[in-house]
Amino acid sequence: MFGKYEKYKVISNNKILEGQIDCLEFVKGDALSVLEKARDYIHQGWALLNHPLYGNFTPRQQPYRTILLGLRVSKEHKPFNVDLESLGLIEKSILKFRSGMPEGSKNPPRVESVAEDYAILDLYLVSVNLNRYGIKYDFSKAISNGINTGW
Amino acid sequence: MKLELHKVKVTDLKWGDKTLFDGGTLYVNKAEIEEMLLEDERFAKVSVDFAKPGESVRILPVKDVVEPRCKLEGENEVFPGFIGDVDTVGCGKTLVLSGAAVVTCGRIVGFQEGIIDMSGPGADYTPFSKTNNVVLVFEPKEGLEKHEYEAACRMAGLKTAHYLACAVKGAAADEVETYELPCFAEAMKSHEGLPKVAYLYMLQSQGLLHDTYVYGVDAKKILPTLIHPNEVMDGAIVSGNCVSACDKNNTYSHLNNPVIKEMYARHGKDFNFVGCIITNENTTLADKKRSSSYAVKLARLLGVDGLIITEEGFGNPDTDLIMNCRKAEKAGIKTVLLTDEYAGRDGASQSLADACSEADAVVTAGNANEVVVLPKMEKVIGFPEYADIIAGGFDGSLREDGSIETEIQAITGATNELGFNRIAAYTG
Repeated sequence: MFGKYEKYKVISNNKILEGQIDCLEFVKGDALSVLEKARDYIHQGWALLNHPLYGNFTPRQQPYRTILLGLRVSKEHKPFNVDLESLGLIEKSILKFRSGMPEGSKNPPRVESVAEDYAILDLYLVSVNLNRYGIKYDFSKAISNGINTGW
Repeated sequence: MKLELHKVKVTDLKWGDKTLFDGGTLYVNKAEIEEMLLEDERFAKVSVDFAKPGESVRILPVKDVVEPRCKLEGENEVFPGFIGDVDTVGCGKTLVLSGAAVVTCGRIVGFQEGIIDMSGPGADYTPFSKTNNVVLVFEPKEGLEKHEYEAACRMAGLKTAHYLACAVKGAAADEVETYELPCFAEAMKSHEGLPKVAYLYMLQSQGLLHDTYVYGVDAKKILPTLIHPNEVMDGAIVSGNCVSACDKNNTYSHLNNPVIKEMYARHGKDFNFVGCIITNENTTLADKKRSSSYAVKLARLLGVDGLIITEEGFGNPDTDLIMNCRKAEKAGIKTVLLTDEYAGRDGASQSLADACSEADAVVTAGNANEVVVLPKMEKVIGFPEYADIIAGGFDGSLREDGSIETEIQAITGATNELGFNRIAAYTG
């Protein structure tokens, strides 16, 4: 899995990442829609590189998700060669988001100062994965991006 | 390695001009602690308070709980890498102020810290309603990054725990517990006929504010490794974790890990407790594969018949738990898992985010989604407005009359996955 991926893609609805990462695909929507978008790419041959349920939050608690995907391009590559492990994991995670507390992922954080906490914590957690795969981003800029957008 | 825990029982706390111990009472010099902690320039303000069993007191948001300990004899000092140097601990004599705890409290991330009620229905869910608590409340300097705030609080909790224990040096112990396991060469030949069992100890390591430290090293950067259980009792494992209060392993529960204690108690009787493996719970899938394979490989090298595996947290680490279980079982090692559940408020949803057919011996520490109502307390230490937004609390959970409706996820230690909690159940 640490073998070469020719392409990376970061799917996120965390607005402090907007404009900070070249391979970011920003999703305007809730956390569940980020997972669903990632699943679409997994069906097209992308592999999941981080666990979708990172951070010890129930779906109701954390409004932001950031998913990292990698694509191997080789002569043998078939565009719809699905990584079943990735698919299984994203499906399980989507189920977890939908079941139990389906209202959850749609609830925006109520308190503005906490919205910033959520966004920054999401960045903290995902920065480990970004660093691991050498995906460039500006940590301080992202943090100030959050503050400047007026939480 | 042989370690003696010299336990001095603290039955009351009082303010005093000097920090000292007399007749079961720990006298605390408040000004001295505040002055010591304010040496850390990251704090704007530090306040010290007491919360004793049975009082109408609520503490929130709680970050960590630490048991006061210090070395009496032996190399190094407790909490290596923080208080002590980085040399090996786990030998000699350690002083323990049992019945006392240092509770750290701050607004690090609004929604991830816990509640401790010293009386009422909430007190039944947390072991820290039964300890005499020295509570530290921290206000950070303006502009301090959250992970720096956490690091400062972590250090302050350890410093205070060590300071209190040092002030009691010389007091007669109420009880001395001895813990000793032989080296592997001897262990492998001992207790013939009994199954060899090891403990696989999973440590939270998802990222900043979700970390655990081993001898001061961030656990997400380690390969699984062996640790002597006595090292854990001397504070080799320290929590730097702000995840949900109910199932994070606070430093106190690492020091008093009931799995280790029970394995020692049954060692030589029901099985041969050969050792302890620590592993991590990273978010990168490749790390999960590497760590689970490596941990199980260590268990195979030890030649164990069984593994007891404890998890910390939920969601992401459920995958590590299941990988550890499946790989061990495939290697012919029987497993027992300790976890907790997020089964919805009615308990009807799937409990874990992952599962496998090999996980057929699982112990639960409770359902974190269960809802309780915590009545108003006469005194609140910390920041009561946070009840609405901490994990497990929800919109409207702080009612006008001061009571709180919340999931037990918000209560510190309620479903602790080391079994250091107060919920128990038997099924047929």
